[in-house]
Amino acid sequence: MRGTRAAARTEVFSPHSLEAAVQLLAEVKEPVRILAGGTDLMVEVETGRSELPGLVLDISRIRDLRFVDEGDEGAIHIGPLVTFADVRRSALLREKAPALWQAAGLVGGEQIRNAATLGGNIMNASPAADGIPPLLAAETHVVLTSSEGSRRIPLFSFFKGYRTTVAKPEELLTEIVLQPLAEGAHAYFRKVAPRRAQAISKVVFAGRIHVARDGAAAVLKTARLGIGAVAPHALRLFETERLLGAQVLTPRLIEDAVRTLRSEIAPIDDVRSTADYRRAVAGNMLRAFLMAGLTRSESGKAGF
Amino acid sequence: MSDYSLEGQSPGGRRQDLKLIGKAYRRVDGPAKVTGQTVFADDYTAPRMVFMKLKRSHLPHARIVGIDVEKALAMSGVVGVLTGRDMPDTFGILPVSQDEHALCPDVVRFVGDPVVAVAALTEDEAEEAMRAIVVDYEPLPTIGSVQEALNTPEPRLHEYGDEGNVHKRITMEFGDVEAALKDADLILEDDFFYEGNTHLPMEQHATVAVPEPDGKVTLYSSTQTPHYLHKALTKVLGLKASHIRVIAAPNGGGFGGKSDPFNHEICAAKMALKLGRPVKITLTREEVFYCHRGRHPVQMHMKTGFTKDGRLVAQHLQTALDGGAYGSYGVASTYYTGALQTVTYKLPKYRFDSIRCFTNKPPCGPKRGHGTPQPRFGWEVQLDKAAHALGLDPAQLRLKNLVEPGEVTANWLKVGSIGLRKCIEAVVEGSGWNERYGKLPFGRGLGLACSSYLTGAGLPIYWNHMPHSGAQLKLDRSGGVALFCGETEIGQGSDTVIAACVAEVLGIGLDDIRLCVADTDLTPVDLGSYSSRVTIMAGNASIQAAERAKELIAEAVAQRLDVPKGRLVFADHRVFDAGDPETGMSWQEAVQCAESLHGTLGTTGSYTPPRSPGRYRGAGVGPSPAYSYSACVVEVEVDPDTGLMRVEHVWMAHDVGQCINAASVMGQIEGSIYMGLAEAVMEESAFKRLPKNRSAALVHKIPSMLDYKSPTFLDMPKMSSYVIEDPDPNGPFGAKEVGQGPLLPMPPAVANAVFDAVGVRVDQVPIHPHMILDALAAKAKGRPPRFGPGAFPAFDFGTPLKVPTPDEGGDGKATNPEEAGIRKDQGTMPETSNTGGPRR
Repeated sequence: MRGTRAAARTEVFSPHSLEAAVQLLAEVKEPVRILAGGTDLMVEVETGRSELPGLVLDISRIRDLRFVDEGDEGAIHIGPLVTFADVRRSALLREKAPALWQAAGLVGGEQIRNAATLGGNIMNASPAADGIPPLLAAETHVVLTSSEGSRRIPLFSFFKGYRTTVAKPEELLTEIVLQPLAEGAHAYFRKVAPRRAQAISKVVFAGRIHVARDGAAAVLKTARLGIGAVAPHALRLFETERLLGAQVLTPRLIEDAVRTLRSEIAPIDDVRSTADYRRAVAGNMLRAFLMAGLTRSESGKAGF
Repeated sequence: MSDYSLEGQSPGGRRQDLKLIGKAYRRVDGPAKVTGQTVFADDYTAPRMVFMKLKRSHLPHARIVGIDVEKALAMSGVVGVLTGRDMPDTFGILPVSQDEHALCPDVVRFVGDPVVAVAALTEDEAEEAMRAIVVDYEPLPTIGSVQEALNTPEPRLHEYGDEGNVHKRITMEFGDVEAALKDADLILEDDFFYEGNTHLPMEQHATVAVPEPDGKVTLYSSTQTPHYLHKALTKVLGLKASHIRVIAAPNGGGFGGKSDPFNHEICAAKMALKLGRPVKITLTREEVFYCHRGRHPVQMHMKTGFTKDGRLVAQHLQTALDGGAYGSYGVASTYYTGALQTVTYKLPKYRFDSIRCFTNKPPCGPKRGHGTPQPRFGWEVQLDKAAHALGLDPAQLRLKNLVEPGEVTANWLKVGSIGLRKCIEAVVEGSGWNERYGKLPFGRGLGLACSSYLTGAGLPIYWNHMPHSGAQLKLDRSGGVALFCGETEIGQGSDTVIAACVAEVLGIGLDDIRLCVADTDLTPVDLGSYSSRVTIMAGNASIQAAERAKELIAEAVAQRLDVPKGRLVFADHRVFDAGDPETGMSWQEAVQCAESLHGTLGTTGSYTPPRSPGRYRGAGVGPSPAYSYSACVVEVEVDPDTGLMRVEHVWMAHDVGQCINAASVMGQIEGSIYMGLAEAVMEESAFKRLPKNRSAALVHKIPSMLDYKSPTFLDMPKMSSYVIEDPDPNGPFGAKEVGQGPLLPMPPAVANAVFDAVGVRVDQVPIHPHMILDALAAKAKGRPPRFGPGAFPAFDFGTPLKVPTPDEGGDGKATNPEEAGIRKDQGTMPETSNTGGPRR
């Protein structure tokens, strides 16, 4: 008993160049849905959650949008059509963006990961997207391109609300730029879901911390934290980061940070979990991450 | 990932006299299944076939005010519609619950209840037409739980049932429980809850109905019970039974979900007769969730007394079942939540009270374990609590209380062979229980649980004196043997079981046998693939038919060879003299010999279970020719930060009496581990109410496989299976069931392992991470370290039916049949369902 159905006739436009794609977006007046891997769009249409409009822009043939590069400035540039399977195959991402690399192995199942793109994960803007928290913790910017030119936006200000972004209808996501994990920093990723594959997260958390030793003390130089499924969209945890910044890492500081995190998020009860559970577990994950940072720095070992 | 071992119970180990039985061999339906050649119901097609869709209610309870099919009938490709008026007669699987209509005539009772059937030339056109049908409803108040049903006796969902919206109520007592509990050293009282869940077969239900030129109709359907579907069709269609032919296609998984006659099957037959064209319907996955008939959500209150050395004194069990909108197997399910409490451990006195309520949700029914996994969960968790309270090892506590072979229990069930001691010993040794239980680091734990299950219900659904299963053999000069049997292959391997029984007796190969099964016109009746009955009943019937054929052949061969009949051996495709193996002939020559002597060769066999000693009202549910036994140890890892639990390893031992096919037995054990794990940690049929402005409807939270979570390959633990063979005198070659039993100990073993891992009790399943975190938080605050349901619903069951136990010198009859169910403040019993179905 599907709710709605596909339009009587849907035209699919499959350009091979970015120019042709943005040209189409600039010219058409009617609504267009953009198709990359199709793992969200086709499910939405099939279950009747949304209607396929008369026009679909299939960008999957634009080869120039599928790349993983290390830029001169050290940043990592990822094309939006990079699939999660591509992420898993990238030695660069495995070393320089380990949380993203880990997340990519836990999205959906094998078949989903072969089709689903990182760009699609961002543009679909699900609060529970597994790819987004690691990108937030990696201080990611996204590049949006239209026929008028490009603009660069920090990922933390890209999401407006539940499944909405600041991208305009005529804009296409063309690049994802993230910072590599700094020498000596630790990364963390944890997906809490009811099973080991094909599961939507109850909470998804990623972080990077850089701990330096100052005599006996462990000083937290920087903390970058991203979290999903606990608010209308994925969040960068700025308040918690500020509390932790340039502080001596102590069990007491960790408890303060856990409290701050729990007040910074806005989880709800839904089919997958409860607000109370999400709040409790989000704090517990931060604690586990920071405690591990504390222990590791005490033992003098770097990396997780 | 997994390993297994086969062990014989007898001192000499496994039986050596059997040639095929007991070994691991390929299934007769295996090659077709792995090459995609099996014809499932949805694969059937016929010339001029049309497609049917059902317009289902989007409201959980409403009166139908009007149905407008005009627009639909005018649409392209549409060939016909049916409404409730076309099929006024009711049906239902049980004679006492004939409460369903093929299409609802007046009232819909759950989201998904069908109202109109429409057929068109293509499936898409049928769906478009279904959407164009307009049904006007007047919404009625809805009932969402047992408590709401008790609070709302009026309006009633059905005009029959024991009282108000209580469909069935039961109260029975075997010996004086309260008096016995006075002597107990320890009394535990616990409340447990087992959430409902569904079967999730890979194959969605499908039916093709083909009208015959002479006014008859043939139905190909994915059903586990062609015989009962045949009965329901006969009733609703108003045709002679001999004019309806039901062929059960091999099921792509059943698990109990295809055991009821369904609306779509009856509508397809009616539509085919109306149009004179074949009609196909294949349900969507969403519709399969609406058909349901899955596990009942059951709340339980269990009060049990123990002596200080751990012996059971008495138990009082109360269960409350959320039945959903229709009767289905519910009356039987209700009895099953209490009937098998006595066949594992010796329970000297026992009282059982139960209610099943109607609610505006898809009807519940039988799922693998039918009504028994719920009380089994409570029972085995409570035994774990008792072991801790008494300072006893949980395995030892169980070993102390085992039922003896041949014993008649307090509620008059006769037990046959029982290999449970050996099962417990196997998993204790395999898991290193004695060295590791209670000694693992925080977060890691072991849990143990046992169970037993029936090998076929002792009574048929319709009371009669005819066999429960029949088999017919046709042999001829080709040497081929055709085996006709009504049994239905639902993936469990029953085709192979009956073929193997015949091959073993006649000394021939599986490839010499042609099977013709599950066809109500061509095969002798078998009641269906439910209650783990096929191996024992169709197996015994097939053996009898084969023995009779063997006798005919032996007589002819003995004459020809001039060898005493008793000396002839049937083995390796030969019939020969045991004293001189060179004297003999090939199997084909032997059959030709017999055909020459007797004429055309054919034999029959049948099976009827032995009579049970119980003679009280309700004694019909629980008896079985044999009971299987299982023991299980589960190892879990619990993350106290997230409450996430990972089942790492399962050791499962199962007393199957005797393997027919060892490979299938292993498969059933592993499949049961999977399904039991699913129920323990994730699967649930959960419902929510829509907001008031959207009708406040009770809807499935998750009528899809996206969010109805079942374990994947990655979630499966390592499995170590132990097959224990303690042959039962009633079983074919001693065989007992294995399809359902090994599911039962999984949920309680997981809950017990969580307790060993982190010291908290979760008294309900599925065990979700938040429950473990809540219990850990309670423990940290000094409150009872438990997550579980609150008190059992307040309900006056009245005076129990009193049945003295065998130990008290009873005769199996009740002493107070007139008083049973009467309440002190009433003096009369409100209303009974004794008189049969709904008054319409």
